[in-house]
Amino acid sequence: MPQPPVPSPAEGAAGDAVDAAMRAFVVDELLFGDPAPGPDDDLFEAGVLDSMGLLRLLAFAAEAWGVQIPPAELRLEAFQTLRRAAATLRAAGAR
Amino acid sequence: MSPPRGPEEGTPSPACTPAAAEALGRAVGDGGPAPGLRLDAWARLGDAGLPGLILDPSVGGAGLSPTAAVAALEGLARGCGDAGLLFALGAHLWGHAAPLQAFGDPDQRARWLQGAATGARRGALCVTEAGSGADALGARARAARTDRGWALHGEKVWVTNGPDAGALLVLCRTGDGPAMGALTAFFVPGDAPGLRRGPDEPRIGLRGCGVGRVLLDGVEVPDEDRVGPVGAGAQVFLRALEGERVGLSTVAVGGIDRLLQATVAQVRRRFGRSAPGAVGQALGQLRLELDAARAQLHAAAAALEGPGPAALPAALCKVGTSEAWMRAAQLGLRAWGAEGLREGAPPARALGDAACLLTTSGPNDLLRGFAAGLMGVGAR
Repeated sequence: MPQPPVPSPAEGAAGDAVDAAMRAFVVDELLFGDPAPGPDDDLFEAGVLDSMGLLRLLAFAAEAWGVQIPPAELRLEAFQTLRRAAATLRAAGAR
Repeated sequence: MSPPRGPEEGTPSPACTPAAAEALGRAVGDGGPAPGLRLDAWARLGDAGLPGLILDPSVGGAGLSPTAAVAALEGLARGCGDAGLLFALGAHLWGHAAPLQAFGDPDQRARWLQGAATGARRGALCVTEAGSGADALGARARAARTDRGWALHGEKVWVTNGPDAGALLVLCRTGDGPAMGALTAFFVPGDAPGLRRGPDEPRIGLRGCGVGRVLLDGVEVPDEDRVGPVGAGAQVFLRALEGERVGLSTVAVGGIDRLLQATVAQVRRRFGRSAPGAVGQALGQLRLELDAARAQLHAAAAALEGPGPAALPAALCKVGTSEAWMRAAQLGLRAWGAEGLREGAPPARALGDAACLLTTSGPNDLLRGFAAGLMGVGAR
């Protein structure tokens, strides 16, 4: 039986869901439970994200939301902070 | 001299289907013991459109998806035993043309990809450096800013197509600190002043292509020839490797298939209807290796079309197919007996070619650790 479509949440709430999922991914997967960086902390400078970490983040985003970041748009600035990374993923369709 | 073209003079007729590519592979032949790329064979691949298999039709490419391209290249490798020639094609397609298409801006794509699509300008990817060892992103070659762009200094080693490429994609350090953000990719034409090439490195397999050192002695690169943003070299490189590892695996899978066919024929010649049990078991195991390697190849090719990175399945595809090829060569030796030991005999040739693939495009043990890292466990 097909399920009735889930009503899409309000824009702000959807943004919060991506923010929360990103933060949880970084804390659980990259930081082994260490405290989350602030929303505007530089993830590369802090050593939270490296080439491997970015690949894992993109794999996570593809799995969670089916989003794809075209290679030419794969700028480091787009993932430099939790806030920017969530915005990048939202722009690619994450909800 | 180039072979006759199809009816539409000047328009490549891509050998896009696996069957057409296999027939082309047979026509191109296996090459002899002499090392180096057979330029006439490369020209035939070019006439059939293979160097542009995955490039956009707007630049003269065939526009195939990764899965369709992998199927065609697997067919080519089933027909053609010149694994070195196929490596030259693989390095050009996946290590050079594909990242230029993915990361080049429209002007760059228009300038670079037509020569790549016809094969007139064979491409190379220059990454590995002496002593960089396990750290593929540990480039020490540097690109320094000049008033006109960049000046490249350093040395790359084991560059497939290095001795004779018409264009090179070069990864250089442009900043300090971790690779992410500190590397940048550059396009260097083969005739750039300051670019010097070492000779073909003598080796046990893949002899049909040139592999050697590339020296960058103050090579001037205008900023228009930077590929991708400054600091994005690691992304360019990681992306190129995803395709390259799957693309080169076609040579292994096609090679196992060829070896199996040749071995069945040889066993039937030697023993007729009924072979010794051990030989029959070797044949059955060879077929098992082929089926498993092929399934892994096709799954990895499909992953190249998925939304996320294909880094993990691509890396393990190269590991799995190269090791399957190595085991297949040993099984072939068991079935062939002394005849398999002759230089150029199918199992002997497979042994040398497969051994090279174990290390090419990332040594297999390093890639196992890389896979662990992608599963969340750093391997040191």
